[in-house]
Amino acid sequence: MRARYVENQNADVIFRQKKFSEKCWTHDLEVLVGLAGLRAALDVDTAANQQLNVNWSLVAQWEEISRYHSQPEAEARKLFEAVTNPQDGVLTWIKVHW
Amino acid sequence: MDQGPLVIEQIEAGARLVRDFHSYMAVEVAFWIKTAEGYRWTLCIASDQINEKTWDLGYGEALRLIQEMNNPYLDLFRIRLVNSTSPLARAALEERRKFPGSPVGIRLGEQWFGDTAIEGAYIYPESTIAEKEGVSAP
Repeated sequence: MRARYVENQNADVIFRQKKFSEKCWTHDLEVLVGLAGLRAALDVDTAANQQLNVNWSLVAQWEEISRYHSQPEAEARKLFEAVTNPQDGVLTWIKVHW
Repeated sequence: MDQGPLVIEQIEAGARLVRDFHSYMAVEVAFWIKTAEGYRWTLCIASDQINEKTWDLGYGEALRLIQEMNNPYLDLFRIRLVNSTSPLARAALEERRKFPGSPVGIRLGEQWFGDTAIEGAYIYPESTIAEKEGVSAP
C-alpha cells in the first residue's frame, strides 16, 4: 500500500509536503488505503464481493500491538487466509491495484 | 473520522446495526471500544453463536447490513464479531450487570477491559438489543 502511495506522488509532493508524506508511515490500513487513493475502489469492490469485504474487515482489526498478543491457531489461520487467499485475499486485491 | 471521542451518530448507527443483526444471530452484548494503541473506535458485537463454523456467515451478514444502512459512521473497518465468552464480551457483560435494567449505555474511560487496555468504551443497554426480538439464526 505504501508502494502504491509513493508511486502516485511525485517528488514535489513528497519533499514539499513533509507532514502529509509522513502519514504513510502509519500501520493503519484505513489511512493507507485513503493515502493510496484506493478508498473508492475498495468501496466498489467490497460492495460487489462479500468474501473480499469479510477478509478486509478481518485484516483491518490488526493493530501494531496485535503482534504481542498470543492468538489461537485458528484465529491466526483465519487472518492468514484473509490476507493470502488467491481470489479474495487482501494482498491479492492490493496487488491488483499497485 | 473517529480519532476523537465516540459521537452520538456512531452510537445510533451501531444501535441500529445491533438490532438488525440480532434478528439474524442472537446478540448478548454490544459495545464500542477504542483500544489504547488502536486507530479507531470499533463496534464489537458478541454472540454465543459466533464460532469457528459461523464467523464468516456472521461477518457476511453484518457487512451486508452495513452496506444496506449506507451510514458514514459504520464500515468494514469498524466492526468486530466476538463470542460471548471472549474476555472483551465478558468484561462488557460484567459492567452491564452492575446496572440491571438501566435504559442508558455505560461509558468507560481508560482502563484494563477484559484482556485489553482501552482508551474508552461504550456498552449498549440491554434494551437496545431487546427492542427487536425474533432470531432466525444461521
